[in-house]
Amino acid sequence: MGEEVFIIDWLLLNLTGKYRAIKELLSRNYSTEEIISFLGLERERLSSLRKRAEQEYKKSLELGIELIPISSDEYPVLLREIPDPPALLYVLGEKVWLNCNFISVVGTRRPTRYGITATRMIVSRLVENGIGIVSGFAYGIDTVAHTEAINGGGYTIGVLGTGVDIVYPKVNKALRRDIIESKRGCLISEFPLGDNPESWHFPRRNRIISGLTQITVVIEASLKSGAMITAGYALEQGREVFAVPGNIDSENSQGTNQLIKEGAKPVTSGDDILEEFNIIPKINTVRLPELTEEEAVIWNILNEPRLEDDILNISGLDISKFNIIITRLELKGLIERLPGRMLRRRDG
Amino acid sequence: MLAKVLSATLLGIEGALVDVEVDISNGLPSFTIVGLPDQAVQESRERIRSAIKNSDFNFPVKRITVNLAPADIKKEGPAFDLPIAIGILMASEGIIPRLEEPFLIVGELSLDGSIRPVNGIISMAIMSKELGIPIMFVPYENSSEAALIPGIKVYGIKNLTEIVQYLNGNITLAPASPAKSIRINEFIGDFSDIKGQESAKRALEIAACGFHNVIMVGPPGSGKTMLAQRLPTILPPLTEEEALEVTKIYSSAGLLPKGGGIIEERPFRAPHHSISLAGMVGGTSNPRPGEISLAHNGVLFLDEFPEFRRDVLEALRQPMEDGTLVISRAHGSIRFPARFMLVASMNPCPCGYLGDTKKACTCSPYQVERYFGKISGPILDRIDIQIEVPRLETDTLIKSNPGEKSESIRSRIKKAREFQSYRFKEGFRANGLMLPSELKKYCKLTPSIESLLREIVDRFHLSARSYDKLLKVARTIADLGESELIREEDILEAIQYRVLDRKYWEKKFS
Repeated sequence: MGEEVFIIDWLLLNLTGKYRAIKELLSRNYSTEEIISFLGLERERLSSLRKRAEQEYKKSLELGIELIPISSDEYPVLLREIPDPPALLYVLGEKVWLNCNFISVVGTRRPTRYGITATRMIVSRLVENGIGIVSGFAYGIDTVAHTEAINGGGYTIGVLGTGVDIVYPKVNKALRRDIIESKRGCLISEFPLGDNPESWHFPRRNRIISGLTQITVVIEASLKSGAMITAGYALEQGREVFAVPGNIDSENSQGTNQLIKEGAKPVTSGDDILEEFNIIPKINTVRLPELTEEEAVIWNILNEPRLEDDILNISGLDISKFNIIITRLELKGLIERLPGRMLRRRDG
Repeated sequence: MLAKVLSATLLGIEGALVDVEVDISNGLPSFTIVGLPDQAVQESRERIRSAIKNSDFNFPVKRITVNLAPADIKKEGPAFDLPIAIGILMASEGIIPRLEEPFLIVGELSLDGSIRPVNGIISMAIMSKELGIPIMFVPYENSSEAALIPGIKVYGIKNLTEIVQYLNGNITLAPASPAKSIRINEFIGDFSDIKGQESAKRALEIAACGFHNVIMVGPPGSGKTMLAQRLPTILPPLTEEEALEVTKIYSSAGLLPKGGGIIEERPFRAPHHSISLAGMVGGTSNPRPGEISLAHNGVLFLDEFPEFRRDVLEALRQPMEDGTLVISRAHGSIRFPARFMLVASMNPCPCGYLGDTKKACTCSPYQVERYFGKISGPILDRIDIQIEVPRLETDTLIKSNPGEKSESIRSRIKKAREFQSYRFKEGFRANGLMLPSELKKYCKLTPSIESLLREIVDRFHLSARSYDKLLKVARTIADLGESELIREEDILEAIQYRVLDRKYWEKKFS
């Protein structure tokens, strides 16, 4: 019973949103009741908040959602250090990952092919070396980062801008299920259950993304984008910002290039980040697949993702033969197709 | 006095015999036409009256009754003007035609007695031949079209006086000679105009060979329309029978150029996506061929496929299956031939830039999903070949070889078609038109190839339906290689022309 009251107190505190004050008071070892009384809430507001907190508690029990107050050992250590840590986190999925090694990967919702490729390259390298990925579970770079982490056998945390029980964005339903069912990560949020995606939620949740990790990597971002806000939070929180350099004529790289100008470390591979963690990167054992002569020709041309017509021009094969070889390589799992008749090697 | 003249009308695209009976009796002057005439036929009374007067004949001031028999089919159009006028003159002026054989008259009158062309002459000529009516009087401008049908004598008539004089035996006329073949497609290009896009060109070659339906997915400006427009240039030429069918359809729709003639190229129709249901399948109360019939034996190109109205797209299903379209009306149903090769094109997403190398796509994944959702499964099931047509950078284009000439592709296709028709003994058949039950019979696989197929199905997550399609396309590729058995390479190549199945590009961020 005492546990229940305790959690409800924290739910209530979380609902007040006075995170800075709560953090301050907690550091002086006050109890939850004392903190509540110090916040000086009006009686009516207090009772309505308590009622709501009780409902939240019941609902989270029903939905199997974990509640982790800031005072808990399970609460992410790095997040606790930021100036305004949420008083409580709602967690859906496997919470054991919360205190593992993570980096944040953020970027635009409308990535270019370059952004997607860069995300995959960097994320897969990090995941191979045991580092988890934090991102915002939105379209675009976020989705690529989470997906790549799960597919690569790594772990990941999605920080939502809605209540954790809300499926948003809808098309990420499958990804959501993958993360939860594989037990290789969790979705977290500071927002009460049932909270819809409001536009003001997202900049706010960005401070959690940067707060959870020592390093935030910005893959692609225009000058005014959520990813730039996250980068701003990271600096405020005394964390490091890395950025992926891009073409100077690409709008999606204006933000990242700006960050580099301002002193962010440019990232050109996952290893740049591993260095920061003092991890000696695993050496990629280069698979030398068994290839026929013709297959080897295509394989060698594909040292970067290429358009089919370009490969044809270089190889000089006729189209029928070409398509046969491509299917063979696909069946061997060595290459894959991308939208727009692009091909690339599968191991990135 | 009673007079009887034979004439014809159109039912859909087929000619139908109509007896024109004219009775002139004493009584209050009147002029009545009975026998289900439509508005245009009713109005012919005024044209006939003036034409007869202006040709210096007397219009009888008597009670005139015209019956168009059989009375249960609807008569439309102005083609009865001339037979009715002749009937009146026969009944009143006592023209007694000096012809021993039965004859048939069609033609529209103008007020001065000259004769205007009508639609569907070739269908009427075919009917006339079948019924054993050896002589036809048709408007001069239609005469060379009717003369395409051998075995009947066709006289082209310029005006009312001419035909009366001929019937009276005062002058002689020379039978019309058949028209030359004509072109209907405004634009004719060549496959060698297209640089790059090798995969799409190869896919169209396979499609043309097996009469497979195709869908092309690619951003605006990637050349989808260019590719589709050139498809007729590699399709095998129309057979005589097919050419006649196509000509009939165009003639009955009034789309034959002046002077008529036999159509010897495969039609290419590209209706805009705002087209109505009636425009697409044919219709109105007196059914006329729609775009799908005009594309009969040729290509129906639907650009911006998902933008077409849902009901219009759904209406394609039956004809895609049967090759004909039946329109039912109160007066019975009419069958239009509609065996076309569907070539659809669409953007990969609403903004068009999904998968583009340079420009970021601004659509949300949900929008992309919804865009594809506009094409129903049953329609997609009828499309064997699905290809992507990316926008090529100038760099790629410069390096690409100039394409192969249409003529050389066509000769390859012709050969492969012969190979196919050897397999299908009866009538016009192609791999794309194979029924599921025939698949087992014509697409025999060796055990090793079957296991390869199973591996492919697993690897690319194909459904049972796409398995069938894959087999059909592989069959055509084997035909192009003149192989009786489907070989391993045929299957390996075929899978590259099934992009929509593989979904790799629907998952936007994969």
